[in-house]
Amino acid sequence: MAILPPREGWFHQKVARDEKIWMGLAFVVSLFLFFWMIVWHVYAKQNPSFVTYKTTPEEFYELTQAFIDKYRIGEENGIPVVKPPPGSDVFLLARQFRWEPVLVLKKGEEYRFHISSLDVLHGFSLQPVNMNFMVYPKYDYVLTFRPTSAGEYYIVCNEFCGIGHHMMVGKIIVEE
Amino acid sequence: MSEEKKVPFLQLVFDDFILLLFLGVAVYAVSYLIWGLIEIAWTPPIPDEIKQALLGR
Repeated sequence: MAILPPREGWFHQKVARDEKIWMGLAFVVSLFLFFWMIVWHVYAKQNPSFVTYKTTPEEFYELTQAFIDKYRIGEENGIPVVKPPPGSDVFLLARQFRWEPVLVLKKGEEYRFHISSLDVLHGFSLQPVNMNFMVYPKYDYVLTFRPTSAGEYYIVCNEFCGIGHHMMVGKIIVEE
Repeated sequence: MSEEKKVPFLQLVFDDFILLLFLGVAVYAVSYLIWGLIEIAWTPPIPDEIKQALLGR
């Protein structure tokens, strides 16, 4: 807002040259930022290219159970441990207050992660690499995932989901 | 008086800073809301191939 009201008849006056230059510069900067956003997305790999599918908690639970039954190799603290073959669809279910199953993956191989919640909003936070995604109920969030180093990784919930939120820790084991 | 009536519409908009403040928020709020609704409406279900591979039906 200007301190003084504009002069009478300002609307019909010609736009001054310096104002045109400033507008032109602002336009060029905004165009640059727009295209830079696309370049950043493609080359910097900062944003995951993702696919989202609609689902229901019942359907996703059924799919996750079928996935666990198919590739189960053991159990850890009451949570099934699953070793899916490379290139397969991997299902990870978030619920108050656990992640299931524990996943055993192979280094350098690609997997298609399907992540959804059974109840409320959760946050998928892979530590210590610090990759973060939101996990919604009724939506299957699909990520193409290729582990690049072996070791044990933890999934912590980073959206407050209730009284046991701080105990909601899952695990991904990456083998050589 | 007749000259005052000929104030162009855009000048009326530009002269009203409260209206500009409102439009600056409302235009983006409505656009993002519509964008979000379109995204939700176009989200497909889980493909049958994935379901069949696991459930066998």
